[in-house]
Amino acid sequence: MSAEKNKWIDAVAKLVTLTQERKLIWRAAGLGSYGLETDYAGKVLRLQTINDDGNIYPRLQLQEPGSGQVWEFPYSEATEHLMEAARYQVVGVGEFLDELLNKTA
Amino acid sequence: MTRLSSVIYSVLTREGFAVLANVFSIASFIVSIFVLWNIRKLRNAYMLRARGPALIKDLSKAASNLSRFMNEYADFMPQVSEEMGRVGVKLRSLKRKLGGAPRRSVKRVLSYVDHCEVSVQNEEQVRLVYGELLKVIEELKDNQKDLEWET
Repeated sequence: MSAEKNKWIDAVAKLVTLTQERKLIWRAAGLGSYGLETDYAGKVLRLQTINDDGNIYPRLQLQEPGSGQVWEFPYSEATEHLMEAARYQVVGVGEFLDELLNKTA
Repeated sequence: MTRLSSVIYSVLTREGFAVLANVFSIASFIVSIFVLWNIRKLRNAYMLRARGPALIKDLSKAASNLSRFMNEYADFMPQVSEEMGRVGVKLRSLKRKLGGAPRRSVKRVLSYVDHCEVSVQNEEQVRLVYGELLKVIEELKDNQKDLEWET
């Protein structure tokens, strides 16, 4: 596999790690939208679920806030995992489980 | 004409015939090795075409599960360990069917998996295995696409 493709997978896997370690904090992108976004190194990272003729996949974009120019990361399974990790964080699944399991009946 | 007849004569002598027989014997040995090697290659290609997609799908599922468990690594260590075991079995099965660069990549990830002990201190190592697993899955998917064109 090309080193170029490896680099993108490494980058997205790193974003998964940062998300799971709560070093990257995601937020819902807006009402009525399934998108999530976060800020990193002066740029905006945006995750969206795309429905392309029934083919549903996540899309990760990098946006330059000043100019609004957007660049899209190449798709890999790591993007799916990043979407899951970001949703896990935004929904607060960990906190919910802690509260549920620690609650005495 | 005389030269040709002398060549035929030398072949027909006992020594000449023995040399010729030796040459054919060595040549047939080489051809046999080549045929065996090709049969093995064909068998592996067939096995990979038949079993490859399911094994890659299983690996993808394992990577997805690992990623989920890594959300709360400390709480899910037994599950991470179980998933790593499953990844090792699938990679070993794939390794036997692969050749060339994909085989080398699978071997590399397999060595990471075998040396990775799931513990609180080793979270970084587990994450390294997860990252390498993602890369090898992409490589195997590409290899599977190439196979569709080859056979």
